[in-house]
Amino acid sequence: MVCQDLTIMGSRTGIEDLLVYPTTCYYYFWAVMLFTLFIVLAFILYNREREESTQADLISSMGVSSTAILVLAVIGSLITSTNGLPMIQRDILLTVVAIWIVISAIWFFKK
Amino acid sequence: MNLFGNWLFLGLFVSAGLALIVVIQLDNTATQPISEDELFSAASGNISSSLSSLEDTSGVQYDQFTGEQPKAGFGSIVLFGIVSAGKTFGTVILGTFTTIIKLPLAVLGLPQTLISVLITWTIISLIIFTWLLYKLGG
Repeated sequence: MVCQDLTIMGSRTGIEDLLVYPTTCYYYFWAVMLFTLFIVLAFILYNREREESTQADLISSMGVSSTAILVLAVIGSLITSTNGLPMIQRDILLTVVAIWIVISAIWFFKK
Repeated sequence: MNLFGNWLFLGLFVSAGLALIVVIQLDNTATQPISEDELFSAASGNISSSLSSLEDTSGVQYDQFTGEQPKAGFGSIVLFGIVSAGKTFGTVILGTFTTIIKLPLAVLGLPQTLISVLITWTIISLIIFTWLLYKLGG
């Protein structure tokens, strides 16, 4: 899992290559990052809602943050390295979409 | 009606989200567009066709309902058109549910028992919904 050598990126390494680089040594790197961001964002929104009103809803916070994570994943799928590898691969984006659908369905029926 | 409204808006929300992903990826020439995935295109196509057929279905049911001659029953007015509308919208709800759950079922590998429980709950809710319409109509 540890990245062995950063020199494989070549001398003309851009920001896109640096963003894609972790996925070359650990395929699910950005999937884990997105999941962590989702949990953090959901709990930040939940705690903020709890401070402002007495009736905080965790599912609605998760629904909002899952939509934000979906947008981030779509943006990530557009960032491509010089060798044509995207930052977020298609199967990971598909998983994000599937989780977003499940959370949205629960969110809509909870209301 | 609450159940039907929830399904309708969920279908619209999911359909809009999937369309947004496809448009953004196509406009920015993504290297791995999600629209090329068979499962995704089948799911998004089914949701779109299910929602677009609602207009025709609603129109037919409205014509049937307005064209019906009310019959006086014991303390009520008998209207069978409302039962037909309930049956049709029940089919739409079940169709939307099946297409929406198809993608997470295949991608996340959700257990079949969970899906069976959800489908059973939806069908029973639809039966009660149709029966309530029949009771109020008849």
